[in-house]
Amino acid sequence: MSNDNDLGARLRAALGAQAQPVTGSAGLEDRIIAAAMAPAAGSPRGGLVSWRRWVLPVASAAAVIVLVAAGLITANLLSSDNGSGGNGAPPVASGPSSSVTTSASHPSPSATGSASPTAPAPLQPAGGPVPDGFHAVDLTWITPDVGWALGAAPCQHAPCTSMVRTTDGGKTWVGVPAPTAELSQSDSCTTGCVSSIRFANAEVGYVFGHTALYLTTDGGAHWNKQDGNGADGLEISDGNVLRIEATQPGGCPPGCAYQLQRAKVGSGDWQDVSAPGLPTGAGAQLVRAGADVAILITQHVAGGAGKATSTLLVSTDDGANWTSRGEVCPQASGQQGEVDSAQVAMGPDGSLAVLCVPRTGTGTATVLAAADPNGAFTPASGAKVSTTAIGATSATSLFAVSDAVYRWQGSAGPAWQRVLADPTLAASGSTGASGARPYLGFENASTGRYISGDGHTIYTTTDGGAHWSAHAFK
Amino acid sequence: MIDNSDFAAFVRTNTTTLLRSAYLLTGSQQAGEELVQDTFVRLYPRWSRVSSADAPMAYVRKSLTNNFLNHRRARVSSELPFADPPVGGHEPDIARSVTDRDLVSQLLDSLPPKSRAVLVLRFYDDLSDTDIAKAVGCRPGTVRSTVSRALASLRERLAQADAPSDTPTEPQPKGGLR
Repeated sequence: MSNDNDLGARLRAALGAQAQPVTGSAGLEDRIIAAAMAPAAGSPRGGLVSWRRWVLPVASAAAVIVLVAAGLITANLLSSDNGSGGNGAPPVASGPSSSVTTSASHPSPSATGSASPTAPAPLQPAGGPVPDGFHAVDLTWITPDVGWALGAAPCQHAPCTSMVRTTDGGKTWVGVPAPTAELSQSDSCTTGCVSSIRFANAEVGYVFGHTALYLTTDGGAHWNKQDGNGADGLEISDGNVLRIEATQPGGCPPGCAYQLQRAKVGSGDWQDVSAPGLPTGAGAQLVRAGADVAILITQHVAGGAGKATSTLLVSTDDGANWTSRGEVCPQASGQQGEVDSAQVAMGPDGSLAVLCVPRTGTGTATVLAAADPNGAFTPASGAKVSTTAIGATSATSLFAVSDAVYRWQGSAGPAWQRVLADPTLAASGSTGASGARPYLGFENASTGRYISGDGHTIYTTTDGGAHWSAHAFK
Repeated sequence: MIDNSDFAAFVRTNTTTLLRSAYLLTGSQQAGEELVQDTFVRLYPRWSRVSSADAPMAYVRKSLTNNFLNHRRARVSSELPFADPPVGGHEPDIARSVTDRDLVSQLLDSLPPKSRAVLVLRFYDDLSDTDIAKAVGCRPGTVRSTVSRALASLRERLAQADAPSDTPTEPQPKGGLR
């Protein structure tokens, strides 16, 4: 009997050792959720079709096809950042990244060695070289390793919007197809204005802006323009997508009415979501982490003598119920004392940060932070008034971009400390490429990204923002 | 009414655990991932029933096992998932561990799907004989006899591996569930 027990223990240990290194390939959980909730999933196998569409061709293809594909991918990786391509025309205005990246993080693809049983299927489309002169304006990540950048590169025939993809955390990139849309924050684009990108998983992604929203369900090989008026903000969580859009087509002047809509990942069936208290405004931002959601409606602060304070709406049940927190920035005294919420960011833990800037544009800026959307705000004062973007990994670890990237840690003292120098910000006036808000976002408490002021460099931190490594596009 | 957030949270929390079982059942990561996804896709329409069960994970694991048995997914590769195969063989525990894994892999490959499922559920998922019987659709006594035969086969393989031999023979499984 003891012999059997010993044998059983060895069998148990051997099975455990075999299984322990196994982790899901990139984005597995998201794929499962999307497949299960896909509209076609009324028949239980409906969602599986989309999964197989990209996995099985690789799995079941003849060996020669696999070898050719592997060769192409290897060549692409080796040649990343070289050559030219993309949809071309001079770079145009970039869009804001109105929120942190909130895609769920997953374990990296297994590194268990023997390639056949453990290697994740290559992403589709295979990709080509990164276009010369590519600059990025927005990023999205489905795992710490797999992400996409939306940007543009000089080209002969507009629009020149381009996309690149990485599968190694940003060390190397390949060019992939982008929708035929203009990279612009404006409302007047012939083909539709886009400025932001989000992917839910390896197949389903969104490129969007004030006047257009494009959806891919095959990893970016094909993009389909969606009905509606685009999206000022769009975020993905737990198998569904929320977007906020202007109710008027083609953009609208200050005083836009906004509506919130939801769709299942990969679906073009958008349903209105009730958000009582959603005011009109000149801009809308949407941030999301799990079931926590926040919307910031900003006003046109440049003109007019009237108040132009912002309104913050928050939800902690994925948009089912909303609370209007009004203008959360403390107001100074006097006629010139208006302080406006200019940006909202959400940490991966649901913490909320709001950038408060004096309407006069003088003095200093403050970043308010709360541990949760309904929590009390604590000020991190003394930020430069030129701050154009903020980020957060928690309520006590805040980031601000002005002439450099600064970090504020509540427990480490009140001062904002510079953690990343970016000389290109001086040339761009503390803004991102072509005058937009620079991208700064965190996928989790340790991993975050920042796009340089000129868009040509993507910085990555894996220690919560203390240190950053750079990848520069040629 | 399906609670999407509950479903998503369950998937995120348990996929890796289920994938490891699925990997041992199918013998490949890709087939394992497909098995897990197929299981969740099938369960999603009745997720309210799953989530209200006494042990939702047991419900899902049973469904995963049934899915595996129904489809009898074939192992697509016999490679062992070693990142860095040990060299030298001077460390007894490592050498033994490698031998065990190799032999267990061979043993699993040689078994019919139901027997394979019994071993994985018994020695990896640590289910009781009663729960295994429910999962694979047999009597507890059949589970015990299957385990006994599998252990005997493994003992034979280990004995051959431990004893130097110029004429290796391939032991055959002695029956079992099919």
